[in-house]
Amino acid sequence: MKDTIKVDYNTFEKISKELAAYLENIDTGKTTLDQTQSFLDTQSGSAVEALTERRDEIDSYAAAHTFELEVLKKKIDSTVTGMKTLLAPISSDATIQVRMSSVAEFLEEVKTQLALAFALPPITPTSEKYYRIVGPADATYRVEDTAKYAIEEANGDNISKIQNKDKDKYYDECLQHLGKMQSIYDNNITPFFNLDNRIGNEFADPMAVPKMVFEEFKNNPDMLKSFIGAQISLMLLETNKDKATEMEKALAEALAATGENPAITTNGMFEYTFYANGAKCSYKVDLKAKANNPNATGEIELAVAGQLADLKNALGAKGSNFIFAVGTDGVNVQTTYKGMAAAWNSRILPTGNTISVIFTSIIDPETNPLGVTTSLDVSKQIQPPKASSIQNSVSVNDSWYDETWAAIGVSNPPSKTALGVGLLVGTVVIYAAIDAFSRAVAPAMIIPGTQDPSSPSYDPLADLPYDPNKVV
Amino acid sequence: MAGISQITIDWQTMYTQVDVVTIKVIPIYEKEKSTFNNYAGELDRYSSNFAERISAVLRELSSGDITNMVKELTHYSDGLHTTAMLSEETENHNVQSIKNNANSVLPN
Repeated sequence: MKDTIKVDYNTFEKISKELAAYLENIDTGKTTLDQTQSFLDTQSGSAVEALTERRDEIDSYAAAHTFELEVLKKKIDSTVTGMKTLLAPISSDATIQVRMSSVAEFLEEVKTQLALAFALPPITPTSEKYYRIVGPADATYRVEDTAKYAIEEANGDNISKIQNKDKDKYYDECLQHLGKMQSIYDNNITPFFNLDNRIGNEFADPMAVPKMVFEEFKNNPDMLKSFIGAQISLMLLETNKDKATEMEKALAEALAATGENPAITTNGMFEYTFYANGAKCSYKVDLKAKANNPNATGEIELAVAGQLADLKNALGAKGSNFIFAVGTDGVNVQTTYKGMAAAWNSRILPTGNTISVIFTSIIDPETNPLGVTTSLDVSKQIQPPKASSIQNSVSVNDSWYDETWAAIGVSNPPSKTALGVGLLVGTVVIYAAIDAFSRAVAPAMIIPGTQDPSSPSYDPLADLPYDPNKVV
Repeated sequence: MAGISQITIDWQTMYTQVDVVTIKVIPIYEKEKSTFNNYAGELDRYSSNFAERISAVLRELSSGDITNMVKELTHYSDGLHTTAMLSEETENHNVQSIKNNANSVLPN
């Protein structure tokens, strides 16, 4: 802990204002990009495509980093308010400097001096008399000095009165003032240093921002929703959008078009898609695996193993700061995003329109519990898919398709949809050709027989253009 | 770029929009780094733990992801500028530049 604190609140307030202006500028930038995008939507060209793609990246970065800036600003504001409440300079534009040990020493000194000052020895009346010399320096000529005795007696009475009565009164009064100073030390100065120390330690902790964000989440579910949306946006942007096949895009469209879109696909996967903050979130559950799980509850589990494994591979290849660690049960998700979200494991349980996000600390669950459950109603987040959002579909591993084509020397294979349509059309054409052949050409090729089929002596083999009994 | 058979750009509107982006976005980047660094330096003169830590955070802000994001904004506006000024023949080169810029500012 510091012994001396020197700080100018105005500097922090200026920083807070700069952060606010910075946030506003980011927002202005996003608004400007929106306006520009509406123009770009009417244009076409490679550069326009590239710019649109970059715009998506910018949006996601802005959404994610805005959280950090907002949290930082809020922390600075609350800290400055807290510190100003405890100790503030008389002149608001002055720098305050406090040395805790000096204040403590001063209090001790005052306490000691007060004790000494009021520790007067008791006065006892004396019977000794005063004399004054009225003649030569000889005791014979002395006379009793009653006037001086009266003065001394009066002084003695006053001192006795102070000792026995007023001393305690004034000492108590001084102690009250000392108590007020001690109270300021205990209730303002010590907390002031403790607060500074605590905030300093919080920021020194590499997990400071995640913890602060986490505290915000506990009180602000909307912020959590936005955060999840922004984080998922980043995940999607970091993956290779082109990996999504035409069929997967069509599937995503079909799912989204159903509104309440949980659907069971032919391969036994339960799929659920919603949009959070404009980001598409898709959850898949392997129903077969679920049936084999004796501990499965009635809730829908988030089967992220395959999905996040793909993301992990894609992001790992890009050297991104994302780290995904999928729990062995396929449910627990540990997410790290630039050190921001590493403070927790998130266990996400979507049920209907509600997603329960259970955070538990991964730093030290025993001594630093951060566990909390936040439930979100995402029904309002369900939106019709935008054409661009379909591009963000999370892809699944379909490398077998390309690998199969590559094995026969085709490096640029057709899409699955094109292949399927091609096969279907080809099949129809072939069948149509056979049918036409059988109807138009084949009858003309039949050689008429020379016998009457209704005759009792009709021999079907006799009209054959070859001898069926001939051994070749 | 596969699938693009026609390039249509309204240059006049593009110029108008570029002005908007350039004016509003670039000053953010120019300002934020020096502003945060100045404050970080100023806070260094204080003896508070709080001041020291905030100073470090501000330095992080001026050199980390936030800056990258602002660079994104700047490159975007630069891209618009460049796109507006280049002819169709050189557009492919421009696209490549934009992508290179994107790669250079993506987080590592």
